[in-house]
Amino acid sequence: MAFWAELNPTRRKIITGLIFLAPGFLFTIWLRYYPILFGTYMSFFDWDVVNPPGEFIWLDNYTTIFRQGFYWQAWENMLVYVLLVFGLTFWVPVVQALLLDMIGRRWVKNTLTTFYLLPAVIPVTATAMIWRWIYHPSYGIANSITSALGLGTYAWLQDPQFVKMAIILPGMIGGGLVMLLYLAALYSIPDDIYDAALIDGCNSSQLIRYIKLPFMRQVVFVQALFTIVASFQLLDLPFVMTGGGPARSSETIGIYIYNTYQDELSLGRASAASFTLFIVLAVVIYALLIINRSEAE
Amino acid sequence: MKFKSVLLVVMMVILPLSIVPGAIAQDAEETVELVMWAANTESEFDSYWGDLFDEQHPHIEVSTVVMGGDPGNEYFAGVARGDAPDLVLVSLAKFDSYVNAGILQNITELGEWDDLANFDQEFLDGLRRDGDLYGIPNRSFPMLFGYNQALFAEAGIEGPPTTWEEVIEYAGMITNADEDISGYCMLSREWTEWWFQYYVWQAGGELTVQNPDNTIELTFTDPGVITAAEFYQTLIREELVQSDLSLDFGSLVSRFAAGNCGMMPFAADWVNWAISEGIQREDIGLTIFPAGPSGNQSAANSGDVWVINPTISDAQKAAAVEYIQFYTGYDYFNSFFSDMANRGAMNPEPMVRTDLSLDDFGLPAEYSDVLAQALITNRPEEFYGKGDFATYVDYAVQQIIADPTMDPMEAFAEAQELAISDGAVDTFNAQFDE
Repeated sequence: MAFWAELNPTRRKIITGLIFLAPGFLFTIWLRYYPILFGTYMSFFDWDVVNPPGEFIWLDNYTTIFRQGFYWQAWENMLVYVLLVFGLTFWVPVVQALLLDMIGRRWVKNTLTTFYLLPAVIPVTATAMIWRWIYHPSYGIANSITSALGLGTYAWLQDPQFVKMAIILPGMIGGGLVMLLYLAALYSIPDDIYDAALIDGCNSSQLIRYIKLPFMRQVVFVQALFTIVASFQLLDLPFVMTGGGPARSSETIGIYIYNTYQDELSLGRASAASFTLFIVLAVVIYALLIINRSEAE
Repeated sequence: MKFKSVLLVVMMVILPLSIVPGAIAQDAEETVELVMWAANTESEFDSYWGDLFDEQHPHIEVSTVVMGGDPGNEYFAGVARGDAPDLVLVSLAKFDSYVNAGILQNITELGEWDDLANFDQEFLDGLRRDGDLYGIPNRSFPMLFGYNQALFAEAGIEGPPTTWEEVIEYAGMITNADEDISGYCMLSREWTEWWFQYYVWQAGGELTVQNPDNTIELTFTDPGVITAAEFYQTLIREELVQSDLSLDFGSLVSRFAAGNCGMMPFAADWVNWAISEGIQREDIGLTIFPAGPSGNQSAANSGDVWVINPTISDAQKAAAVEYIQFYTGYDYFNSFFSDMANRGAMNPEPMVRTDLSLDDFGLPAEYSDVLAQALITNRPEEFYGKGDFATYVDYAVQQIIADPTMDPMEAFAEAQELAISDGAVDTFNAQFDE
């Protein structure tokens, strides 16, 4: 206590801050970084679960997975998923936020906001089960609609050509917390900027193009980063809907890692695949951050 | 004198009290705790036998964790996490991979087990590696061919199919798309190699060949494999299977139980399962597999075995042996199957103990005839190297299911080439290098 009393106020503030930050920092190290580091360590061994770590095999786990055709097929599927996510679903919450922002009547805006937020509370596995029913070849709504439109019927989850799109399609409903973030960004635009724009004669589309979208840019960019990470880590939806089939056409790296661990009982190879995913994601995100920074400058 | 009296009284009180903690500590040392995983919560029957075990083995305290599903499938993950049970039932499908992963206790090392002489020796031999035993048989489930007798009667079909041609013909008579009834249920989403291998054998083919030195040769393009694939494609092209080919295995059994499926491969222990999902026992028809073009009607036998965690203490291993001996003993099995028979849900499964007979439990005559035939026609094991090559067979089968117009030779040749280029064949054969 004497030590504390002798400290100057600035140091006391710093130490107090560190004390409050310490639990979160330690938990982050323990629950986030330790598994990454330990997993990396495991990837260099033919991991023995009874007498860990087992035989040190250096990069053999990596060369083994790099040789596997199924591993590269999972990566190929991942790239298609990322393209589909950005092409079909990423822009939907942006449009929803812009439309909500244009609504004048408060009760309509609030009702629609709540309505768009509801998808966020439905667990992903429940969503997957519902869409499996929607996609049922015989009595699913999807085929009823396509039949009514004269487009015939499709084996949505059984056709390798369609299955990835079918898995991503539920995201087109949009909404969720992401839409709320975009809306918050729009609400943060100062009124005097709108006033100035109106004085300059901006119409609605010009307002969106020159005022609203630039203000949302940083939020959209951050969300794009999160979306890329989530796409690369995609596991739950395809796992529940198809198990990675048919014939591995919807298998993600996450499912590949799970199967390597659960079916092939190889913790070392599963860890190698996980670490490789981590490196690829880190490089992609770093590259995007540099691009974003240079554009901002 | 007074002091001496007081001292004497004090010592007389202290002395017995000093023995008590020692006695308690000694009892605590002798009590062994065992953790085991179970699929379901305890039934009245389980509770009775659990109490009996506790009574006969007061030094063993058993904690049962209800896992749901198949706890044996989670055993490896438990060992990896460090919270694996001390003993668990594991299906034969997982047994080989678990032995190879080194996560099963060598039971031979734990001492003599006289009662093993009363077990099916062929089953036991399948659980040995280099002469050492790694599991104790619990139950045996031959793979049979199930058919819904009610749907057959409705369609005017008198008996089960005896050939592949009859499967197609009868499936056509039963299929009713409007009511979501399929003549045949096909395993198409996962583990497709499990049922597909039977059709390969029935077509006179083999997926792999075990060489005399135990190395493997892949024969995915064997004519029998292609014939089996074409049979699958015929069933799909003629729309005789379930419309939703993304159903998992459990959903297929549910479809059968709900009367939405006319025929499907059916393991002996699924009778109970299907009855619990609503079908009447008398509607479950069982037969051996219809003959393929070669006249062969083979499937494989499965089952589950008790295994012990090798990381537990010696005292726990000894306790685990006592537990398994109790639950694979004559008295328990006799009571277990009597209870099953009394509930009218007797599975047509062969006894793993040779001192028990199915005849003792009133198995319906049609089931016992089928069982006797299956024990002749079925193989004791699945295809050689299944643990390492199932994934490639599954890949090819799923391709021909997804595209029933695809040339199966192309699909299976690609899968075989993939297995070779992945190094899977070299890795498998390397274990037999001298």
